[in-house]
Amino acid sequence: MILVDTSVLIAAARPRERSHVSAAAALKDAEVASLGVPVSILAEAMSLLGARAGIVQQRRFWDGFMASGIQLVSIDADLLEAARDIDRRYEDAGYGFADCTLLAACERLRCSRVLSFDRRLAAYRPSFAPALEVLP
Amino acid sequence: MYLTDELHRFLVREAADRGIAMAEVAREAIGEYRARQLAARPLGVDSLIGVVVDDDAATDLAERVDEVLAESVSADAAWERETDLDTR
Repeated sequence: MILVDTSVLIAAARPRERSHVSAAAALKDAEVASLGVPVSILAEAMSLLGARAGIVQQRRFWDGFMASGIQLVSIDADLLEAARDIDRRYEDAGYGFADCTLLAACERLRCSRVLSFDRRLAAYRPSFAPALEVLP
Repeated sequence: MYLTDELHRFLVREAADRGIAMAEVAREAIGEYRARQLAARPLGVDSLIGVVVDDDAATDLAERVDEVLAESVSADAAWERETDLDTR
């Protein structure tokens, strides 16, 4: 599985974004069934769009996401605990809550590829792979 | 095409009520079934790409997610203070 971060979701959804073309290409290059988005990332994307684009555009994104076939990765108490542990260990990396849940989801799913424009994620060292590959 | 007695009775009654052939009712039903199947099928990532068309001129929201959300929270807090809605 390849997990998708907020930055790529927003860039792909908004044609005005300077990284729109590369985000769209990254999503299209992947098999849609292999793409996953933690629910925390979806919530972050929805919040940003609600704040900056308004509720109508937020709902357009919502509908688009549901029709896309991208898998939603759920978060439970164990994953939240793992995320908090990552937050403690990488306190200086500048990761936020959503980042930590994304990384914890990578650990659970043994996923070493992430679609994100946030290069800070590459500093994370997964327990199951030599490095986290941050694309595009 | 084999139909159960119940479905056959429905088809006969529906065709008679509407004054059309049973085959026409069957074609309509299959057409509606096909449309529902197509609607339920995921469209792929194309359904997401370029879907947000807003008036915001910013071209780098995707690269400043944390900052943009912080600005939004801060703006909401300022509005609440200005309108006396901040009860903290």
